[in-house]
Amino acid sequence: MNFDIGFIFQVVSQIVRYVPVTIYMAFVSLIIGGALGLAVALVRYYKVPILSQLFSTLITMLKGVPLILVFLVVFLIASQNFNHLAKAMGWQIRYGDLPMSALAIIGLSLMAMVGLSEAFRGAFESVKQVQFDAARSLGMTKMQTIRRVLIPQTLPVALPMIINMLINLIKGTAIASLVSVVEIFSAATQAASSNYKYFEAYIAAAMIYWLMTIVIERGAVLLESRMDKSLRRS
Amino acid sequence: MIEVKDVHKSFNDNEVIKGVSLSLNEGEVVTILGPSGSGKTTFLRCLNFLEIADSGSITINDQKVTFGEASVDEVLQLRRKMGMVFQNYALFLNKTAKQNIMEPMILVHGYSQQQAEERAETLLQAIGLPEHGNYYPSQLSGGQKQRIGIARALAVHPTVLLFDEPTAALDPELVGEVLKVMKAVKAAGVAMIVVTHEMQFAYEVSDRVIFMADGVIVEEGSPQQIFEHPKESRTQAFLDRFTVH
Repeated sequence: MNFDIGFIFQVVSQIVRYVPVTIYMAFVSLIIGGALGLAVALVRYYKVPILSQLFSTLITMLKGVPLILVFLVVFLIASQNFNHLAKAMGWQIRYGDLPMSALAIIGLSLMAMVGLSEAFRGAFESVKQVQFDAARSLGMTKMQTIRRVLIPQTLPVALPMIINMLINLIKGTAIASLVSVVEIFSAATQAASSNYKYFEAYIAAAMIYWLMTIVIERGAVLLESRMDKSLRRS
Repeated sequence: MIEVKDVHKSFNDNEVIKGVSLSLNEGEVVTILGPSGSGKTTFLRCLNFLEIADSGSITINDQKVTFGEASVDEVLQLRRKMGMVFQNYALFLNKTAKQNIMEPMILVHGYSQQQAEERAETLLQAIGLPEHGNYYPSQLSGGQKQRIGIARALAVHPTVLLFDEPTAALDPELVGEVLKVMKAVKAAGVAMIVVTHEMQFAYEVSDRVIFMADGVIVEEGSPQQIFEHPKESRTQAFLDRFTVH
């Protein structure tokens, strides 16, 4: 087997243009999943009746299956039911018009929601009871307390786990190739399909993933050190 | 002006407050003394609804609220007439000293940013920390944090300030600076209910001293009465431990 270093760089130059697709899918999923995860964590933290039991069951179910299964279920449900739904709602859009990346984002958002809801729940526990006493004694409402005290004190604690999730999402986008989204991984596979130099193509893909995660990790370190200053525990 | 009637509070089957009543005139300072476990901190927390008392009522100015029946709005209204100072300061860790003081003014009492900032600066000056507005709690000493805590509670002109062992977590050399601020608060005419072990402060500053044990008020009177001529044997026994011969 000949190892073709030149081909690695050829593939890199071909697939690097799909970096924005990957970053886009990962970021949008992080934001949607983060918002949902925060809502789930708040409901469970404040033990909202019915909803908290419901969410806890949902999280356990989603946590218990591989990501690929979530993807395929989302894909199946959407492909079989979207047209009925669209008709019933009177929308013009049909399944065939949907960007496949939207389905990937749904799958990845669910994964992010599960991971981040647990991350937030853990971080909530780090906020001391006396902070809530203070907020209540000053006459702040529950929403004000969540907005001004709980969330600002939670974010720096949860930040490493949020960054970790972003990296997982970036890697998770490779599964989106299953639902025919062209992204880094599938582009690399395609590039090798004519000459069968898969090994080189995979290395090229790995190099791109490494580069992205290294940049994110460096950025995270900077962000953490800035947040650390204001939130050093007393 | 402040009337607390017949407060009862149990945790599970253990009744810790067994019918405590208290009334307070405008600008009056009442100190609550008592051994640990006597229920004095719980009583104070009940007044501010940080613990929900089982029965009893509290009236501040014209607002009367019955414990156990109060709506969320009533509780918020009542709390907004009180300020509370905690043993472990309870400053918001994610905010600077000045932001801590401004928070209730802007968020709860509708001050403008500018009004709140001006008042915060006046208060920082008054507590002797004019240069420390931009420090985070983690950068301040215990005494400084507690002074900020008092300023925050005082910022919105409460009818009464509740102090829960404000000097108990402090190094001895930092107690003085906090007591000095508390004396200034009294001089400004704000009523205070103070749970403390600072006998000197209780003696010098209070208008009235209450001795609590086992969830009831054992004895109540002027500082001279309580410290110099306690009637009850439990009061005597408690005070004897603090007397320096």
